[in-house]
Amino acid sequence: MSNSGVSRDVAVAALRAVKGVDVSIGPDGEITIAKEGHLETLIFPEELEKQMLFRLKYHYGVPIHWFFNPQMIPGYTPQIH
Amino acid sequence: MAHKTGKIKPVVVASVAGDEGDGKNAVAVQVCNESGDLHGVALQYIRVVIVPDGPAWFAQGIDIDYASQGATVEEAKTNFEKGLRATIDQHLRVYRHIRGILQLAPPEILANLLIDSSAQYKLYSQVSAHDIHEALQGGQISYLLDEVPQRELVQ
Repeated sequence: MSNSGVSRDVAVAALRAVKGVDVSIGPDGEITIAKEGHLETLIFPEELEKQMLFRLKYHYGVPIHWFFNPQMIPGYTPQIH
Repeated sequence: MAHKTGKIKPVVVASVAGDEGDGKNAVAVQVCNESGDLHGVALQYIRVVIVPDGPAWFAQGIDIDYASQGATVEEAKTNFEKGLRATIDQHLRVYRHIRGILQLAPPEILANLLIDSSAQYKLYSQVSAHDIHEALQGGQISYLLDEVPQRELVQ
């Protein structure tokens, strides 16, 4: 992981932990996110940088500190690759 | 002799026009056939700002609220194109229109990007076709027929 990047596993876990946010992962790894009429399919790289994290905070209400402290994400279990 | 168009009679479902001024205004148009299962979406002169973001590149639509990230500028552009097409497809399947996509990016999101001195500005255009009837192929149709009472099938 780079100094600023957040892994997609953590980002997806954080999105799933937000009440009212639906997340589904497509066959090619694309991620469809829906919340209160906002619906989009994002193609995530392995690591998400600052601007994409801010978008997830703005549109879906993901607390920024969850990205950098994944142990604070409710129900988060680290994935072993 | 009148030209026959068959069953496809395009209907404009949604459109948006951008600011006047430079002659290249953002335009987005959605048309569909009468049965509503074939859709065509054309986006033209959509402004996109691309900025470096850590070791990656981030592409954000200005006239349309969609974004992508990639390891290079080219990858960010490719992901923008693929992801936006998939997003349009999702909107058509769920809402049957793309009005929710045809919105300017929020100022809060643009604020940090537009002041970046290394920002690159591009104009993005695409035309895509979407057959949302495909979702009802195969097993689902058989399942639905199984649920129809026999008397209705006889008629």
